[in-house]
Amino acid sequence: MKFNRRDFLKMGGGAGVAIAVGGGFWKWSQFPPIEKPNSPGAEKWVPTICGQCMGGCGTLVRVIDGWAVNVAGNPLHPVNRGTLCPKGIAGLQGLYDPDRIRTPLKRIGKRGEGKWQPISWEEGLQIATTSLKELKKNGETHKLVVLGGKDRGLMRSLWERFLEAFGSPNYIDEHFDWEGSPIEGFYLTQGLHATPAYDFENTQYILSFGSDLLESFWSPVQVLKAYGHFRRGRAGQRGKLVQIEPRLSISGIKADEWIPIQPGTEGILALGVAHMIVKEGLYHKEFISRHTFGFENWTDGQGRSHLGFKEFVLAEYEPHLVSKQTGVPVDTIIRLAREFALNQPSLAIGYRDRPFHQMAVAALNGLTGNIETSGGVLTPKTIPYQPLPSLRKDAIAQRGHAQKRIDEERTLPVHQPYLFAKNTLSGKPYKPKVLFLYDTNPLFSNPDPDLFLKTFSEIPLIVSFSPTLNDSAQFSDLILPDHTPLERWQDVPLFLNNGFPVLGIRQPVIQPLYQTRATGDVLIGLSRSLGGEIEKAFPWKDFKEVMIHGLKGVFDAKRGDIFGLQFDEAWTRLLQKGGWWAPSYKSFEEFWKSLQEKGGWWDPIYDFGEWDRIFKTPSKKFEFYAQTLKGIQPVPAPASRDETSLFPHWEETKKPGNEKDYPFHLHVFKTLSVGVGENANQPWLQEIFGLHLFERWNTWAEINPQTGKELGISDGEMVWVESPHGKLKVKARLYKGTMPRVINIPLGLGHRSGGRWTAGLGENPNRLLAGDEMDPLTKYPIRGTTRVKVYKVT
Amino acid sequence: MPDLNTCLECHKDPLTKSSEEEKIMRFQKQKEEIPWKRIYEQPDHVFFSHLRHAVLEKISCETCHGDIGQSKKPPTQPWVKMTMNWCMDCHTKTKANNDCLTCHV
Repeated sequence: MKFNRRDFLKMGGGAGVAIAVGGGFWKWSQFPPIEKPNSPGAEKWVPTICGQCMGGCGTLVRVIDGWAVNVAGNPLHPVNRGTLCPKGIAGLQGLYDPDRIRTPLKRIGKRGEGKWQPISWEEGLQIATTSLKELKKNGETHKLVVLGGKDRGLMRSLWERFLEAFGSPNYIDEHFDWEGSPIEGFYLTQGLHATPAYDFENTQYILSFGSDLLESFWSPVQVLKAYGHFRRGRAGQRGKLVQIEPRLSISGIKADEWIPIQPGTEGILALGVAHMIVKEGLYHKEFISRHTFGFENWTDGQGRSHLGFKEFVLAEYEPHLVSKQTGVPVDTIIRLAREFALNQPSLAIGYRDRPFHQMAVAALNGLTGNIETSGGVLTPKTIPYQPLPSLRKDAIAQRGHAQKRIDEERTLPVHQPYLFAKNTLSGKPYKPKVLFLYDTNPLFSNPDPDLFLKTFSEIPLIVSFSPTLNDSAQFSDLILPDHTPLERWQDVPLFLNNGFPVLGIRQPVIQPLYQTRATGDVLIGLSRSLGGEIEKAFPWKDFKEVMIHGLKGVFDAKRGDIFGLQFDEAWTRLLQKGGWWAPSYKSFEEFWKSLQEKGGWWDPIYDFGEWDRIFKTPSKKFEFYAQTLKGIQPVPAPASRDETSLFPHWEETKKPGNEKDYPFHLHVFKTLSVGVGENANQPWLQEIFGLHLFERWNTWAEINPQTGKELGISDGEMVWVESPHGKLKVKARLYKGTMPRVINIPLGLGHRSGGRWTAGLGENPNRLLAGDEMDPLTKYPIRGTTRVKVYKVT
Repeated sequence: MPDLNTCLECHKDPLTKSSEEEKIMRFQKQKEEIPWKRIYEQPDHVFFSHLRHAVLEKISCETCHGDIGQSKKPPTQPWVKMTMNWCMDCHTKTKANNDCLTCHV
């Protein structure tokens, strides 16, 4: 390393969080006690990308004598500019988790019993290869299913390539609800299957329909920095934040206004606001006439007239109706509409609700013209990777690909894990024989985990690549453990709020602690053992070489630059705009070297107004009428309202639940520290699990204090929370930020396995949610409709 | 900063012979607000609340701003460099909340 921490500090960045490396550290670590604990060691700082969540912050890891001892932010990385959230440094605890899996494991005893035998990599790979060869022999290659987690970048491409060469169409994104941005809303309005960027730093008014903005946003550090800038970084301007949510979350606490709303009705409120904006003529007429479709009534090619969104929303979503459904006063709806439309630029954001509800929120941005503008919704460009070379499918693979996908019957181009589960159970179109689990934990993080448990029992061989013995790994037959993020190579593509694409480079900071192997390398190894065209499809030694291959495309794209200091951004932009491109590297070798030194590459220019690029709908415009759905299987809808079902519309649940027996709505939420539960094995994060109530290492249920009084439940008492689907025993906390008929329970704990700091602690509210009512488009279970009852533990 | 009328509540008529106090009279005559120059500033990801410190916890001004009541003219330098460590030390001593979200959200 040519430069050290002092140089970074001189550059004016670098928030460091020091941890005490003392006696306590040695006790729970696996380090051998060193003889001379005080002699200075060789120190270096390695730039890498944190892997604790999808945020992709750049970190500098301090390594002393080959041990990682501290994590600080990388001042050069545009996502976090030297800052970090608590998860960053807790990554060390993930690395040194004493209960991590250290070698491949083979199951002995029954599934789920927890009896494992350590085996060698040769044996582990042998088992996997044998089963795959068996599938090939029987012409059943399509019966290999891969459930992949929060993947982006080359690992995803590598998995898809493996399946393509092998002969299975079944890569299923098990990237669940809770981790998602509202991508369906973006898809329906702009026709792109991608994540939008919200330009928080430059907006004036944020109308948040239940979004977890300040708590568990997909890129927490980036959004918190943006929030600081939004509030205090612009002289004389202080943005306004309105949080509409059934619970007083951190976003609600910090908002200028918290508007409590009936759980699950955020979509209809958005439509009520849209109604008022249209009624009072506050919409952006120029944007709508030039860049949108479906607002006014129109006649199609066959001469038939169609209703437009304008008339539809005026007719259907009167404030009185909306107020009745949501509990939000009519005056508030009118006022919000005016504030949202008159404080420009404004942003409406939401959570990954049902697709048409997401579309309703997206439509608000369309109505006010905040698409493709500063302070609005932006569409980041992707990283210009070099495509992987084309491969030849052998005859067996071709037959495999002729088969249907296991989650067939898709309507949106989104994978459908619940359909996979149901189809596996029914055996139609077929029953999978081999299941690979990569970076996913469906037996914990999905509503109705037991559905997946039953599904797993139908599949003869399950292989997990998890580094920890999480709930799903516990039910597998073979574990080929991956490295933790601090030990592996990976590309981390993402983007900034202002739309700039960013490519972080994750590199190993230390030698692997145990006998784990990067899954990318394992895949390449499997391809070797399978031979033939499959082997030819992977002409690389290891995943690092795959990365280098991909990066050549970034080098050849001739735009952007390696991470630099903030002021460089303006200079690069000026040059690029003028047609010059003056990066800090000349050859690919220099490029690769700088990437590893500085942490990554980015393209600090956003070209506004590339309408062709950002609208891939049939009309090539922002659509209030989702024509993209017309090409896919017809959406089930009442015959008389066939047309209007393609507008953003309110979808009432068909199974409203038994209000008499289950008087409360269940609202499940995610926290910053533990997320969907993947970081539960880190004590530092367990310690800050429930900050506002000082709860830690435990799951709790928030109850309104008045309700608690009525039920005779006191603060801290153990209670049963029961839904028609299951029941949990949790600690009741009386929290004023709870609506009287709502119970809030956080996700994250309640693992059945995973190590000493995870197993058996807390409860998993996913067990209360049913997987039976599914949204017809996404086939995901509908949230917000589960009802519960609460009573004391006697 | 409070506006000129607040200062004038006491300083409407000169209390001393100080030339500094004359400045207040000059601003009043020109009917202008005093153009204060800010010397205590935190970056935008730090949210500090005077309400919580000065009003609710009744921490005296002197604790953070030095001997402000006794000075003969407005300070031109901050009394202390308010770093994160400085704030956290006092939070630790007084057993106030030291969670990240307390100040950074």
